Order: sequence, then C-alpha cells, then structure tokens
Amino acid sequence: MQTLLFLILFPILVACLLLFVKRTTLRYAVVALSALAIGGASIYLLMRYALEGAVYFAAPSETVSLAMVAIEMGLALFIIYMGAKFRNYLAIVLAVIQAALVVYLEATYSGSLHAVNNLFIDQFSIIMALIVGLIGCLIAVYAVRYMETYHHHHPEVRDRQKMFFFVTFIFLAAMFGLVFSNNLMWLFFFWEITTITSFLLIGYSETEEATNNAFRALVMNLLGGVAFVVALIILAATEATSGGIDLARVLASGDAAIILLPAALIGFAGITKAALMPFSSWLLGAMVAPTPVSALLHSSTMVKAGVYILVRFSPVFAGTLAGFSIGLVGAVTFVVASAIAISQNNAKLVLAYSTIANLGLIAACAGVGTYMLVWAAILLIIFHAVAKALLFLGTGAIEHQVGSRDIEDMEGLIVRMPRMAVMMFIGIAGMFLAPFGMLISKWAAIEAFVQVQAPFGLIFIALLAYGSAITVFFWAKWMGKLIAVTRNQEKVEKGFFEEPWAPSTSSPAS
Amino acid sequence: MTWTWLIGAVLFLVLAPIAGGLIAGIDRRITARMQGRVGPPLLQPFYDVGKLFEKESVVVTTAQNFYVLAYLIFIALSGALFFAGGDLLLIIFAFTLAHVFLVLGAYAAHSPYSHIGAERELIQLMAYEPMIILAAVGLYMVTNSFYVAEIAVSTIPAILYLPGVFLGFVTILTIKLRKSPFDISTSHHAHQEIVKGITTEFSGSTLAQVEIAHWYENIFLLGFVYLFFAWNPVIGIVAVAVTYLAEIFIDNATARVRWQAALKSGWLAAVLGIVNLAILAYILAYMMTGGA
Repeated sequence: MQTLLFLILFPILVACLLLFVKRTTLRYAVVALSALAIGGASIYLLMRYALEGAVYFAAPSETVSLAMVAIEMGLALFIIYMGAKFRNYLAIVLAVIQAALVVYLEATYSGSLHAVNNLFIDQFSIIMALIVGLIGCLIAVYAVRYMETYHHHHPEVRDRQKMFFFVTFIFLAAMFGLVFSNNLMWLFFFWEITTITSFLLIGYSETEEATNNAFRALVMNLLGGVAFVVALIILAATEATSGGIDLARVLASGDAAIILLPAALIGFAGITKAALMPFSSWLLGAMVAPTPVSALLHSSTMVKAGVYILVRFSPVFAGTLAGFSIGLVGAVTFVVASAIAISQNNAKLVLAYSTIANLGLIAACAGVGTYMLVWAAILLIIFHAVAKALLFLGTGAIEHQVGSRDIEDMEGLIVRMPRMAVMMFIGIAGMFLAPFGMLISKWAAIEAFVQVQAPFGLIFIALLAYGSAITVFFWAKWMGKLIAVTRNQEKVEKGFFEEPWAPSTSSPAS
Repeated sequence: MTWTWLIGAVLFLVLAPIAGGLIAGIDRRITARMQGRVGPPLLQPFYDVGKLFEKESVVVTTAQNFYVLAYLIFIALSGALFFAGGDLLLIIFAFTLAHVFLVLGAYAAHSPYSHIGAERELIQLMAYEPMIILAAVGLYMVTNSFYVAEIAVSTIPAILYLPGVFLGFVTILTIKLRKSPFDISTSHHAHQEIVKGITTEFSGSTLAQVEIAHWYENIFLLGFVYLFFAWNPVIGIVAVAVTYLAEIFIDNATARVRWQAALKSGWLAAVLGIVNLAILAYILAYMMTGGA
C-alpha cells in the first residue's frame, strides 16, 4: 500500500516544491529526479502486484474523506470566481449544482458513504499507473525545456511556469488516485481534480481563445461531473443491494436493474471526459495550449481517465442496451472523427481527431464489454498512449524548428531532420501498421465482435471496417510526406539536436 | 499434419510467380483477341520481367528500392500465410501493410506523377479495405473459423450463404487486379493519362519486383475467390477461372472512372456485403432457435 500512497502523495509534494523553483536548470533537475522516482515506483508496482490479481487496502478514511469534500467545495468556489471573472455563467451554474448535490449526498446518506477498502490495485490499474508514471512523467520532463523555448517564442504570454508545473504534477497525482480508488467518492474527487487541472492548463496562455476553450472543456467536464454525483446519490440510496460507493461491491452486485442506471450515468461522465462525440469539441479546443499539455491530455491523462471508467464498468454494461448505446457512440465517433481527420492539414488537428477516433474505438469495445473486447480496449489504451505521446512531442519539436505544424510543410522531413522523421515514422506506424500495437488491437476487436450476438456485433464490425480503412489513408499519406526525398534541401537538424529539449532524450521512444 | 502448412507456404512461394506469370500471359492473349489483335506469346510476361532485371539500375532515390522490396516480401508473406492456412484477418492486415510500402516507395521518389499515383493507390486501398474485411467476416459466419485451413475444408457451400458478399468481393477484385474501370493508380493499358501512376518512377529491377509482387498478389486473390466455393474443388476451380475471365471482359468493356466513382463503388460493394451478412445473421439465428 505504501507504493500506492507514494504515487498519489509524492507528485503532490513535488508540485508544491515546484511552486518555489524559478530557474529552469533547477526545475529540470527536480522534475527529472521526480520523474525517475515516480517511474521507478510504477515499475516496482508492476513487479510487486502483477501476478496477484486484485488487492484491496483499507487506508484511512474519515478525515481524508472530509478533507476531500472540503477541497471539492473550495474548487467549486474557485470555479464560481473564475466564472464570474470571465462571465461564464454556465460554468457557475454547473459548479453550484454539483456542489449542492455533493452537500446533499453528504448530508443525507452520510451513513452509507463508507467503503471497506478505499484503495485497491489490479492488473488494469497497474497498466494505467505505468502509462501515467512513465509517459506522463516523460512528458513533464520534456515540458521543462519546451516551456522555456515556448516563452522565448511567445514573449507576449505571461510567464507562469511555476503554476504550470505545479498543476502538471497535481494532474499526475490525481490520475494515480483515480486508478487506485475503490471508494467511488474518492474516485469522484480525483475525477474533479483532473477537470480543474486541465482547465488551468488549457487556459495557460491567457489569450481570449485559450480562455474560451478552457471554459468549454470545464463546462463539458462539469456536465459529466454532475452525472457522476447523481450516480453516487443513487448508489448511496440503494446501498443494501447495489453496494453503495464501494467499487468492488458495485461491480460484484448481482442486481443489474439497480446498478445499470448509475453505471450509465458514470458512463456518460466517461464519454464527456473521453471527448467522444458530441463532446469532442473541448479536446479540439485544447490545442491552443502548449504542446506538452496536448500530449498529456491525449496520451496519458484526462481522456484516458474517461476510457478507464468505461472499461472499469464494462462488466455492468455487457449485454445491456446502455452498454450497447455507449459502444455505438464510440463506434460512430471512430468513423466520423477518422473521416474528419482526412480533410485536415494541421498536424495537431489530425492527431486530435485520431485521438477522438481511437477513444471511440476503446469505448466501443468497453461498451459491448465481452472479456476479449475489454482486453482489446486495454491494449488500445496502452498502444495509443505510447504512439500519441511520441507524435505530439515530435510535432511540437518540429514546429519549433520548421516554424509550421502543417503536414504539407513536413514534406521531405527525412532529408531536413532525419532522426526526427524516423521518430515520427515510428509513431505513425504505431498508430496503424503491423506489427505494432494498434493493429493487433483492431484485429482482436474484430475477432471479438464477430462473437457478439447478431446484429449488434455486425454493426460494430461494419463501422470498424470503414473507420480503419479511412485511418490507413491519412496516416499513410502523412508517412509518405515525411519520407519524400526532396532535392536541394538543407539538413537543419544539427543545431536542433543541440537544443536541450530535443525529444530524443525525453520522448517515450528513447 | 504439422508439416502441411509449411508445404502450402513453400509451394506458394515457388509456384505462385510461375502461375501468376502464366495467368498474366493468358490474360494478355485473351485481351488481345477481344481487341482484334493476335497478342504476344504466352511467355511474354516472363521475357518482360527478365529484361527488366538486365537493365542498368537507375533510381530516383535508393530509398525506394527498400520500400519496393518490402512490398514484394509482405505480399509474398501474406500469400504464404494464406496458403499455409493462417488467420484471414492477419493475412489481410499483412496485405494492407504491403501496399502501404508500395505507396511509401512512390512517395519517396518525390515526383508529382508518382505522388498522384500514390494518393490514388491509397484511395483504392480505402475503397477495398472494408469489403475485404467483411468477406473474411462472412466466411467466418458460415464456417465458424477465420483460419483458411478450416474454411478450405468446410463442407458448407459458402457461396449460397454469401452471394452479396461474393459480388462485393468481385467488385473490389477489379480494383485489386488493377483492371478497368478501377485501374486509377496504375494500369496495364496505355490509356493511363498520368504516365504510369504509382510506378512512374520505378524502373529496371525495382519495376520487375513490382511486377512479380503483382503475380503473387493475383494468385492470393484467386485463392480467396476459391474459398467461397471450397466445398467442391471442381466447382471451385471452374468458378475461379470464370471469375477471372469475367474480370478480363469487364477490363476491356469499360472505360476508366474517376477516383470518386472507384471509392463509391468499393464502399457500396461493402454495403452490399453488410446487407448480405445482416440477412445471414438472422437466418443463422432462426436456424439455431427453429432447429432446436
């Protein structure tokens, strides 16, 4: 249990420490060393618990839960303040509703808000912890030098790097808390923290566009948050049969009629956080943030929290209309987002749409929820996190060097920046080609869908077949642009790799 | 028993280029007759490829040799997996990967002709991919297996259950065989207005490799056609021959279409396949409940 607590608490400690670090070199040292510690602890977690199945821990409850409610109230006040400052009244309304529901829940069902075990770990949690601990931390390391250069390129943006890294590490801590919580109240607390942190990161540059997009993300995620609290209230009210707020008891509860509604509400929250259609616009808007933020949101945090909860509840969804609906939302998202990606030239937008598409595919697997499909979903989560982190970091580095994030301008990158082009090539290959991961996941998904009762399985296969054909088109085209051997082009990589934030030392591929 | 898969793979690797070349020769003879010409000797495709290998190696960029070689290897690999009785989905993915390599080879050359060809090849890929996956799923629904070895020995006449899927498959077969009206990325005919499309910048032994890969590919695709008729080998072989003759006829009787029409045709073919599979799903469900 110490490792779990370490992974949740240590990033918070580092976050607080980073509030006082001003110099980039010192910050780099702190972030790199903490990344080493967090990554090491995640790997230790794998070695210690990989073969043990689910392990539950009691963990202190009363005071911690109280503190969490207090912090939630504080965050609600913060949202109300920000909402008033930027005149976004919808955010205020949602924050007030949510806070009122939390108070109602605490006041009315205080007797039922108790979980025997607050923390737990199983194989899926370990996988998520590895994604957060390794990829998330590497992105943080990359961000240190990137942000230094970012402010160099954007002198008009107020330098709030201390806040930036504080929020980043809180974000990581919240992700760890989210995947280790067996107490749904705790899970909800961490869920809300990720909403706030992403709001702060998206709005980092303080331009009007950034602020608007940050509020869009906030509003959509608060909508999911409200659904989440309602689900908690229902669960608490039916504690005797549903298992209350104890995740393990809820999932083991045989009373499908009662837990399906809260599960569907939590599934809705998952859909908003995973940016499935029609809630995908917040993730696209998040593109205004510095590139490390995009990498973080897309690969290892935030949207992965959304699909995490969907996969977690997939045993409840399996074979129900609610599960089928969630799956269908996911499958349609997969096709539509892929189709939109074809028409984009902006590399970050292509990556964003492809993220949405893949999250859709994961949701489709989790919603239908057979044993094989859940594993296909988990494989998709892993491979997508690795490939997408690499691609975002690569795009960010190329943009700083070439001065454009347009795919057309990446033509002949193999001549101009050979090593960078190879990195991008590997990342793209990871997104759609054999023998890399995503393709294996798609294969597993098709083999699993054919065994799903007709005609449901067939609908999914049809959508998957069209969607995957579309993805091949835009990825292969991008790949082709990268490797075109152009004439009379100078190699500009030499100086590039002397820049300290080069991703060869900090990207997941290294 | 454990050795039979290896025999299938080795036989394919050795015999497919010979059979593919002969079929290409027959194809050219029949095409010539349809156009009122005498046509080349039967072995002409072999002479052509042999001559290509003797040519001096002139390439735009050496990178393209690598991609084209990878294309040949992966086409041969997917065919070998097929004749070894492997998993159809895996074979399809390897097949797709092979074509991505060909496209990359064309992109590497950085010439507007080969780039347009590469983009058209990708459009073709996008057009046929859904249907080919649905064909595999259809065969699974009938025979309960994705493994070619098990589908091939199935006693169920798959074609009777999958007429729509088969029609859809024949449509995309036209794309895959690079036959008119869907020969948009490159063509065996002289009517290709963007020179030779995707193969424009390939010459000498590289072009010969593309040609050999195409022979491998054709044998693999005809093997796929056979699976629909596998319950009776005689009917199966006749069906494969008739299908190929029909493709030659269509090739000579139609004019090439725009890429939009090719994409639409491929995707409509897949819709036909889906409708077929949906009906089949209900029939199978009915048989299961009604039969018991």
